[in-house]
Amino acid sequence: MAAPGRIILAVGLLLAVALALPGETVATRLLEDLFAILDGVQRVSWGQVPNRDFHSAFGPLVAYIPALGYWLTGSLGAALPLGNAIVVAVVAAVLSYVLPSRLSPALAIPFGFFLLVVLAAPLNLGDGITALSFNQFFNRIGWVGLAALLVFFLPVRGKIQPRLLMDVACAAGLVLLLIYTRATYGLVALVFLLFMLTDRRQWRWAALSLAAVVVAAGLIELVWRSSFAYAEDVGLALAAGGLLRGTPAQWLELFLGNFADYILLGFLSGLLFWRRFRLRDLLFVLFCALAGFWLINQNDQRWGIIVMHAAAAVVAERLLREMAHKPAPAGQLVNAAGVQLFLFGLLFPTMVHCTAALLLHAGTAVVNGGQSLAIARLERVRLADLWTPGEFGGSRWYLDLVGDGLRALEAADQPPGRIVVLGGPNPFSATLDLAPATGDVAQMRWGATHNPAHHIDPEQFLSSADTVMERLAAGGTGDLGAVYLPYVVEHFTVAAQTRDWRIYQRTTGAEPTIP
Amino acid sequence: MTRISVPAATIVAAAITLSLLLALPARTITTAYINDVLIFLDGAQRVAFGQMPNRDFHTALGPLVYYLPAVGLWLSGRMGGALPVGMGVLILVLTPVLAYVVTSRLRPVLGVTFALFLLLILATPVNLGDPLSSLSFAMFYNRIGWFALGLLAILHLEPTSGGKAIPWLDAGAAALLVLITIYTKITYAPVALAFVLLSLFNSRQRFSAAVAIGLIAACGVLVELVWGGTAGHVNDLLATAKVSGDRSLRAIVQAGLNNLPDLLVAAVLAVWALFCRPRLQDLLFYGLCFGGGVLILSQNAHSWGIITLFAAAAVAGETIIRSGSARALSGAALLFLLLALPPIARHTIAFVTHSALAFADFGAPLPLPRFQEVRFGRLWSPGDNGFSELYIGTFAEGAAMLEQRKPAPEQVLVLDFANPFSAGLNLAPPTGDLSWMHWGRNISAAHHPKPEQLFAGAAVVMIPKIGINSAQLSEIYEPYLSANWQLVRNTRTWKLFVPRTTP
Repeated sequence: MAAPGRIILAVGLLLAVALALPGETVATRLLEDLFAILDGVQRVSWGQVPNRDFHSAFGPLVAYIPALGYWLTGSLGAALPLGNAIVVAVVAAVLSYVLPSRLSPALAIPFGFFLLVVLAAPLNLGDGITALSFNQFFNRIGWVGLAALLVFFLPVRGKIQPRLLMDVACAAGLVLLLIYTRATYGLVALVFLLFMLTDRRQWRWAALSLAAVVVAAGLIELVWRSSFAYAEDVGLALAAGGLLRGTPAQWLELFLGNFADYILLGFLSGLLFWRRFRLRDLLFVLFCALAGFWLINQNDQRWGIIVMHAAAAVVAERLLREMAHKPAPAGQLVNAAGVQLFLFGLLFPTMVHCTAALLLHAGTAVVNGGQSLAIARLERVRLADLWTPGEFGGSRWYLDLVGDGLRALEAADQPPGRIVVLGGPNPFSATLDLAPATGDVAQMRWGATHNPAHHIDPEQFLSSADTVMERLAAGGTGDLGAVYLPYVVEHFTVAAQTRDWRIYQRTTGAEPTIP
Repeated sequence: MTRISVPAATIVAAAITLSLLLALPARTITTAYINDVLIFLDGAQRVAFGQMPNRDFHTALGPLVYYLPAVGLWLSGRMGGALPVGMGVLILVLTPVLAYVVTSRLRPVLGVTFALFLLLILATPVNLGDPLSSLSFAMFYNRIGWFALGLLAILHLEPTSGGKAIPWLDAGAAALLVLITIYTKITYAPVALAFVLLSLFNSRQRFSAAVAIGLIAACGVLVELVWGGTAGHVNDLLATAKVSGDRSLRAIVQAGLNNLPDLLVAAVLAVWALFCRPRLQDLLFYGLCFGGGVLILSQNAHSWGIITLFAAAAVAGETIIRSGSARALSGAALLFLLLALPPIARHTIAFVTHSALAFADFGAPLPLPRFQEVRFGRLWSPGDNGFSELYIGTFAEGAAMLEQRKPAPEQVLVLDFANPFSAGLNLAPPTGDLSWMHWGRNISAAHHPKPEQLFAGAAVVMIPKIGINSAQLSEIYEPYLSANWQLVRNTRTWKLFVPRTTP
């Protein structure tokens, strides 16, 4: 392996170590989402199979990646950092081949560092440095995997011997990672492969990769038996959230939030097209700009269309190749060094931002900053107030809510059995180590992935539940309650009520239906 | 006669275009912070009635903040023209200085870009860093302060080999820009003065810097002779500093983090430039641009926009290119463009939006006779749950209450953030009061003027029931009013007090 590849791999391993070694999850915000992820871990560690035993609009890897961290350590606090660190290491290995084969070293190394640190930093893209949170780690996997795949737009660099097998293995591997992490990214990746089929020089690896993806998906289906259920869950989420979420005003805000990247990619593309216009280049840039916007529109994210950065890296490399072909006269405004520096400048702020967040996470864990949660099995999750008063206050409030529910469940006469929570994620099954319910939804984002018109029927949603926890705090369950509570009232009886929860137990005689 | 260069012509043409597009409709379009805009309309009214800032009323902002809209009002003859025409005039006044400083110091790729960047900051009625749907002249003084500071920083460079720099012009430009910061918003002035003092360390700039300092001092004395408000201004600043002068480490860190991308890219250029030409004076200069800029921002009510960073980047880029090879030319120039192009594009969109809306008569006029061309509307932003509409809606009832009184009262004091009536009804303004009352910023429970002082120059006191911070102000002042003034009207939206007629 040449030097750039070795550097990228070493950076990736270093970042993975920084993420995993403290073995703790530090969060400053959105504990609710953390519980939603850990609920998924609890489900698969009890042998449930995603999309077969429970519904989820996100891919099975969203449960299996942290579950892997959990299996290796036995600690829920280490589940996310270790699971993500493993992904970082694997992606680093892929990038160490893909980037140097297509990008010149001065582009490949910063771009590789950029992608890896975006993947490693426990931060929802677009949030401040101190907003540590693993929530939506799947989106970062999606962005980075897709960005790596888009680099395949470039033919292999002149000096490098093409290696078809490696190309196919890496491309197909990335597409599979995307499909089984979040379908929106997988869909864009497949469209990109189809686009590459039309390239006279490159259709071979694209065709073989597509074939490999189809074969692999077939094999996965033989074991998993839930591909269609996954497709149905994704379809339900798209129907509920809409193919393009939000209002035109929100689209405009989202576009303006990423405006700088659009302008700078446009500027760089302008430099390329001024030198040499090729329709395929234009189509590629437009594809990245539009698909990137669609993807971020499906996320809870204000900034961070990472495929735009991938497009910028590709355009920069195209410029460099054109310049090598026909060198710029001395004194011209745009030369190779300038293009390399421009791309570096585009990536550098995010590199620093994410590195700082990752170090903050590791540092807080190492010095035992913040408070470890006073909840069973979550001693290795720390809540830190890093000058984020609003977020910290919100998290404290939520912990209070969970504590209230836990006390009530512990005080109850009969064991809770399988719990379904209405009005938020289920923090109880994981912390009390209870058998999870089946047929319900993990990672439900009411309003985005499900809504009154598009949801899982109450009969199925509550089929296995022994106990239903209705969240009363903060305005109650709203129209989610309107969908599910009538069924609850009919088949369950109120067993207890606290400040924040109403607890229902299944009416005797109406036995749960467990498949 | 010297021929005007292409870069200079470009800058002048852009400035004239922006100035005309801003001023010609003579209409103030506001989609956010309407209460803030009212401060400056009230200010124009006060100046039109011969009041002098800090002498006839209290303010922590400089006198230019009042005279600029007054010029706009005088030229356009209407309140809607006060701010856009005032700013249009300021742009034209500053254009020769901008064109001279930039073309004498920076090569065109940096200079024209930086000039456009600064012009758009000055011309675009959006609080820096706000969503583009929040069009407003609110806090326009910050944009003036940043413009002056950003341009002043460029004078740190020695003239380009082909550039025509004249020491007297340098001195004049520096003095003018420093004076603008002093008389617009004082927080910009220490950094501005520090830039000039720094030039004293360079033997080739010493003369012009010394002349500039002399000019600033002379103008300060002259202004004091005419205006006589310097002592009052200092007192008002001290009073405001007591309320909100603290600067927490946290605010400073937050200011830095909010501008991290700019800080980092500018830092790359600055470090590179120092590497090309290690000089203590340059190190201090960048320290001032970065440190001073972050400090100023931490005091401002906008989260993005440390404009001195962009100036530092332009200076660094020019330094690198002068000392470097052809490779350096491209890298330094492209990094600077990376920094400056996004805000240029962003502000162009906002500026064009404002102009188009102004020509198209967007929004609804504020419901007071003289506010026909002061228009409020909503763009795509979610807004404040209709609060602004409610707030504006009370003006008409207040005006009706005032008009019903015979004789129609003058010197109406509104016990809230801003006073819409003096300007909106063309009344003589009260004296001895505060230009605006922003709870926690220039007035608080611990620090506020005595009621005897505040109400001495008022004939009527109005307390809104839907106000920005009228509730807090009432808590302090209403007991005094109830005891010593007479409540003559108490409606759904206003309380109206007049002095007790002595029996």
